[in-house]
Amino acid sequence: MKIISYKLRTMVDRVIGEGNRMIEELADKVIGYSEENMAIAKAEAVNGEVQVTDDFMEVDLFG
Amino acid sequence: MTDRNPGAPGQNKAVVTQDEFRKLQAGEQFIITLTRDDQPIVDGTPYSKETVLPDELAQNICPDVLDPTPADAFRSLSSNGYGGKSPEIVVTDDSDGRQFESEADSFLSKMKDNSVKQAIISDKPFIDENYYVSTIYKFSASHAVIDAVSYNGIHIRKLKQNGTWQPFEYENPPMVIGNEYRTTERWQGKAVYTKLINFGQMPYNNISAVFHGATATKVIRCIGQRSKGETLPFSYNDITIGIYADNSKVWINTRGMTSSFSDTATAQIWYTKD
Repeated sequence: MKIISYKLRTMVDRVIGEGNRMIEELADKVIGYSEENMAIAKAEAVNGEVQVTDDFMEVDLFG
Repeated sequence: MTDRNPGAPGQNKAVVTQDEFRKLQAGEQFIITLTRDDQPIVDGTPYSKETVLPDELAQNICPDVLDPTPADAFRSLSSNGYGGKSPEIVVTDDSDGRQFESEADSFLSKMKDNSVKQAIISDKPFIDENYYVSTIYKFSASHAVIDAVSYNGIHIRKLKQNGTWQPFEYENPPMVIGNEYRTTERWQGKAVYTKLINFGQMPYNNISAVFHGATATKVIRCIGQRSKGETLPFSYNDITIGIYADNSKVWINTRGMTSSFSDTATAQIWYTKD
């Protein structure tokens, strides 16, 4: 199975309480390939940029 | 202490010698011996050093003051907080927490072993931007606990063990997305950290993983929250949503997903780091 890889953007509040400072953090995300999931990935990927590669997830998951 | 209850309030007895009486008659200055004679019904507790501030108590309360007065004792007690003005351990530009620890050590050096004080603490921006009211327990120069609460109810503590300060720990971390919190929980003797992760959109009948970014050595719990409501893992009729985590990623696996159930999610993990 193929997977889709992309960067997921999250706004993080690095200071708790007063004087909030929101910063942007990017997390790597992978998702199993399908048409529905490609739509999800493109919608939330930074600049809509995604990569499709061969599956490594099962090896990574159980290795 | 017991109040004196006089039978003849304000009554005194005066004794004057013949020589002094003659001085009185001659209009000269004279001496009399005046003795309280109020015929007490209850003698009451005598007001003396022993009943007000005995030496051993004075030495205990203000050991650094020579010949302390009751005012010195009250001054010393009020400097401990507990209704008086609390002393401060306030650091406003601490990059790694070491400056706060140095100030805390200085504070501890003025405390006796096995004693307690209150202090206002702040370690900006190392903890957060808040001031905390804290109780400081000193067991010895090598062992102490700072237990602190901020105005918004966040409860943190910091331990000094075997001469080394540990990082601040949260009793009730506010769980802001993306921040890592060391908690007061322990797992097999190790400090437990927690982090809330934005998972983004859950996969559609498939598997998906987000790298959580924590330097975990052992994830001990993981739970998710579908943005529209339910906790994860979830199973109902044909819909099953699994969630789990390893040391680098949070995984969500969905089956039987419908478009109405497709949603974003967050995941909270608990883990050790060493």
